Amino acid sequence: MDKNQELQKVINILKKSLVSSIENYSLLSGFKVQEREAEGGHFQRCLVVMLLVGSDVHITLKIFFDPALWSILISKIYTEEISDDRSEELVNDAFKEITNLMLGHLKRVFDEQKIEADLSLPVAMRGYDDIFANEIRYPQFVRAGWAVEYNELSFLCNCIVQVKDPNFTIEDVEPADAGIEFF
Amino acid sequence: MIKILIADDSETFRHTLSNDLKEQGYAVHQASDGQEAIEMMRRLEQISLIILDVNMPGADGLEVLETSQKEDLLKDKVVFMLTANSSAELKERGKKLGVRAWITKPYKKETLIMAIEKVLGK
Repeated sequence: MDKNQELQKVINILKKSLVSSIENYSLLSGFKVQEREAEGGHFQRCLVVMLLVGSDVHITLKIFFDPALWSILISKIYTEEISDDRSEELVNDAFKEITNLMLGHLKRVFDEQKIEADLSLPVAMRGYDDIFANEIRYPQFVRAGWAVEYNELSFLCNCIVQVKDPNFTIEDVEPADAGIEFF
Repeated sequence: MIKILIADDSETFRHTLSNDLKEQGYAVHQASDGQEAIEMMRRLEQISLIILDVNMPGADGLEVLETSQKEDLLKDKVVFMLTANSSAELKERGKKLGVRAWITKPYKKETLIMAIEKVLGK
């Protein structure tokens, strides 16, 4: 069994959920995903970071973006005029929610396959380049990077998937539609 | 007018959901974290439905329910959880705390509206 191939499936699940998450949330359509270097600087003004962590898995997802460029997200959601400062705050908020939706989707896949892990809160911050140094704690890991493009705009995703169990496996399948569960 | 309280830390999400509910004729109040939700439940009268996120700073959605139960703030109120977190353990906790429905994000607007109409009998 190729270990990296198993971890790559986790990345593929995230990439697949990315476009549906952002389109569902922003009401925009036509986003495209392009492979990028996983390492190296990401010269964007802001980043959102969020974790999905269990006793055997540690996933860090970061999205790098320029809030000034992505005010289009906010203008689609809000109909009234919004100042530049407020717009930056709301773009950060929107990217936090998109990150939350992506890792929430992955958590549903994990739950169905009995892989225990919990979500952190997403955190948005300002600062050029990758200001987080990720500790590699488990022997099995992959890093992945990809750009998401919308017309002339783009933002960057960077993800590290680490697993403790050398026999970790995962099925890249769509989770059942959760919908609404009444109690 | 039927009053609904939304508690979610995402402002843009609250804005979208609030607009969807107002379009249906509901009066909507918003809280940006768990603590504010508890304060609004203490202060506001005649809230019929509370829609809570799970992961929020301050008190999470289930902690909000624990506090509300202790203070008897949930009387005559229906609670929905609306969250990206679909953990079976959290759902079980929610069920014990009186949650009527667990809605996993992303959700369809029509499905949510139908669920609200079902529980509020609109």
